[in-house]
Amino acid sequence: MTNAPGDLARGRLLRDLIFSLIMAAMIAFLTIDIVFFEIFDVLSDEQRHFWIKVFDLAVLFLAFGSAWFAYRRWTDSRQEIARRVAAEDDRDTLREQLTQVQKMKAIGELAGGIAHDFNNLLMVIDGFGRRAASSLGDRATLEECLNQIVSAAERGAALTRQLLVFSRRQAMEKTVVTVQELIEGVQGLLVHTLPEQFEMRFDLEDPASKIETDPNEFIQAILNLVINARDAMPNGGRIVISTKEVQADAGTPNWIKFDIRDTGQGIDEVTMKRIFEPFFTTKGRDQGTGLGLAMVYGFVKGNDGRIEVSSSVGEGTEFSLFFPSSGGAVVHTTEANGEERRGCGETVLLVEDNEALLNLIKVQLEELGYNVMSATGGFWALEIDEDYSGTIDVLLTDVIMPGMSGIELAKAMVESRPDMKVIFMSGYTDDSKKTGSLPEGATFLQKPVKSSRLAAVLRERLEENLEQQQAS
Amino acid sequence: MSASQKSFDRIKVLVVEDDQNTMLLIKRMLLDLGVVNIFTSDNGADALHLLGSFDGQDLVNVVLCDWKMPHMTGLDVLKQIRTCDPDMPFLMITGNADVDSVIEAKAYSVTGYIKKPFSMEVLRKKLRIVQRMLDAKESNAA
Ligand SMILES: Nc1ncnc2c1ncn2[C@@H]1O[C@H](COP(=O)(O)OP(=O)(O)OP(=O)(O)O)[C@@H](O)[C@H]1O
Ligand SMILES: [Mg+2]
Repeated sequence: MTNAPGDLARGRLLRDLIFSLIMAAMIAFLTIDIVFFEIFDVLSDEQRHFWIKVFDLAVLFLAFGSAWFAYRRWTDSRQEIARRVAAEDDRDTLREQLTQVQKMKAIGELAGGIAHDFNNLLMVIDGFGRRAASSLGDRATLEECLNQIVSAAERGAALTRQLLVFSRRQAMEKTVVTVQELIEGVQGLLVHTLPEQFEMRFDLEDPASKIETDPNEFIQAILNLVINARDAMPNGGRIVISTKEVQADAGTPNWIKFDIRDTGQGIDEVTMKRIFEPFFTTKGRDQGTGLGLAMVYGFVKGNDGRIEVSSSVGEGTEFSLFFPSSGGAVVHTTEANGEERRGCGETVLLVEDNEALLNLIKVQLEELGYNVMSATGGFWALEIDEDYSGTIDVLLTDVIMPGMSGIELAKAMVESRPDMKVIFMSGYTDDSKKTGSLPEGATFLQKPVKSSRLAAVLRERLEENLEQQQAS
Repeated sequence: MSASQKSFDRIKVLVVEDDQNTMLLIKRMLLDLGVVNIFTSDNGADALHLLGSFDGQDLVNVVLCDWKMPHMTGLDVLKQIRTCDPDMPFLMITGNADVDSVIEAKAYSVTGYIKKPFSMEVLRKKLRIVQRMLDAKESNAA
């Protein structure tokens, strides 16, 4: 879509060029006509009349030709643009399909291993279940059997979780979370995953530092690293996860560093070069997929982070993940589950071109205690802006809408309402490419927007308002 | 909002209205508001023709279109325009804003409405909004 104006301009240039050529030809013919047959009286009357007719016909022909040409050029350029837009759409879906295919391929690879694991788990469950059934009187055996079954089920759940993370279609949902919250999530999973001969240690230097990430993927990544560490220590050992905030160059956000250190066999130089390659594994065919570190790498890159490895053979390995620290306020996930953070009658102008979605969000906002005005497009929103003399505290708008984008709307509105907070919602992760960059200080919400997240973000923006007022 | 008397010299409007008298009235109002670029058409086909002409999209940056017209209705015109220009501001002029036509129009992303009969103030407000849309678009593109 972005190149449509360029094409139009190019089309116009070409059109103008050909037009001037035709005009020049017409003038030339007329000139010849006049000069040779009117002024220089070289030919006989009869011949002259004949040639005049020929030239006049030529001029006429050119005139019609140019008209026809103009018409064709115009319809062509129209169709061309329409085609281009369609092609662009196609390309987008194709790319999507491709990543999806790649994922499916990976899942295919995974599936082999997972089916194997699942069979083992089912065997465990089946076996211990039967044993439990036949030893109902024996409390100790019964308890042991049930414990085995529960832990097998948990391992099964962990496996499916891994699959699910992999097969997820939608873009990551990033939130701002503290290191503490992330590590708690990791701990919750590890308790069940690691056998007893492993010692697990956590060392959080700045537990309140925040990063912006998808917590599920983060936990998955750490889990992959811990499992690798476990595999590198067949006889048990120690795994240490430590975090700290490290100073970056002036002007850039600090890094939050996560170290995962083990006392395992280490990685030799030859292997080191390949560890991040997808499907590279030194484990047996049934044991490693070689996707663990590839996933970790993709995840870190997707979060503007970087990854470092240091290892010495026989002593151990350390993976360090760096993520840019996020200055933003923390959106508490715990609050999302419990009671939501309510509004106090602030006025929200909600703009969304999908009417069903508009109504849904409107109801959610009203339930949260906001006074909501809604519009299905930029024009209507501006009408409300002109008519409504009260304050509008927040503009909550979709980004891509026909006629006027949310970004343009925000630009038009903040001129007259400088104190208004702006929150964008969109289904795409990267709308900025299509609609110009997001204005500074704007908040961006990924659709589908959960009510709890909406509530949290609204409070966050509105309270920053209060803080400013108190400060001044 | 500040009711600054903005001049509308950058607005280029195409009015589509089958009723002669209404057309005349709208034209008068537009002229009084300081709109200098006014095209008119008493039927949808001609209007589309103008928009489809060589520089149609340069000549016009907002369409005011009556909703109830013989042969080609406002909705037909809107549909046609939307096939090649999803962003052209299109205001429908409705007598009785009946619900069905509003819903239909929204499906083709109509930009806004003007309810008949309307005063000059209403028209001024609508045009001011159109102007703000155009300005925002321009500053965003810059
Ligand atoms: N902590 C570690 N210590 C020693 N070697 C490691 C460590 N982490 C990774 N490796 C090496 O890197 C290789 C690739 O790791 P990766 O996680 O990508 O795949 P995998 O562990 O083999 O398979 P999967 O993760 O599917 O079980 C491993 O096979 C192993 O040789
Ligand atoms: Mg692994």
